[in-house]
Amino acid sequence: MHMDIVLGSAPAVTDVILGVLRSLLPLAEKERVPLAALGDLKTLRERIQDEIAAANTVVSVAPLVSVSLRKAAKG
Amino acid sequence: MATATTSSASCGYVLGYTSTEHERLIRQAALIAPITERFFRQAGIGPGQRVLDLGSGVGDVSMAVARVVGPTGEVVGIERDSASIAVAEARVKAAGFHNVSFECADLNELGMDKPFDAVVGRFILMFLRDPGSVLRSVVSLVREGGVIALQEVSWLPMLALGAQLPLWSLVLGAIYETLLRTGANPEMGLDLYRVFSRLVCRHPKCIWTSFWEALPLSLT
Repeated sequence: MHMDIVLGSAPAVTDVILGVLRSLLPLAEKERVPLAALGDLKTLRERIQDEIAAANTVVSVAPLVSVSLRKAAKG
Repeated sequence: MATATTSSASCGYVLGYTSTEHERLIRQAALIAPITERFFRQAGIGPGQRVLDLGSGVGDVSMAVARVVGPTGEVVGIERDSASIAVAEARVKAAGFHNVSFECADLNELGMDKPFDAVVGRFILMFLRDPGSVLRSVVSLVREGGVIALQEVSWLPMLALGAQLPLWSLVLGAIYETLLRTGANPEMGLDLYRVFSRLVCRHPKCIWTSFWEALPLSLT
């Protein structure tokens, strides 16, 4: 059992997460999840990139946890 | 015919089946494909094997495992959304795979003609209300000596890593809260330990796990 985390600062990383937000927006609004603090969603991508660049850091996509098992032979 | 049925209900794929989501899945898969392929090989999946892909979506995991089993192997993807299957079939054809097929079916009602060498899945159990029930069912679809290899997410490390960035944290928090409210489990990755523990306890004499040596459990 182990965990892998992809890190990066490029839009290729942040776009995956922002895409999750975009896909979930109808449900977020239906469930009344507070979104106002995010500001204008049309400029969110650019503001996220600016924030990461200003901090000179990286972010991650959702970490992957991997688990395997094997079905043993009878005997 | 081996048939696996379960009474578990799904909260559904809450991110939806739009073309925009399909494109996002493909971009995401491009980032993590090397991790998934390495994991499949480490789990014991190899050339010539016949593999079942649970919740195959637009085909990325099926193609990843197809690269692992090679042209002599076979991959069957199970997906309940027919539009996703259409996208997957087109992508598989464009990529030149001739040993990958898809079936439109629900994970709760799996029926297969012969057992598989392996069952794989990525980001599937997190959308099931009773993932243990589905896991118990898929055991019957795997041959003796076969492999079950699953990848799920854990959002907690990502939330911690992003805590230094206020706006990014707000984005992550909104997603996390939405997932929770819609019944999805963003910590399914960590819950795999609990789910697999119960699975092994139910099959103490026919299952051993490749990760088990590090865990404080007895199979006696």
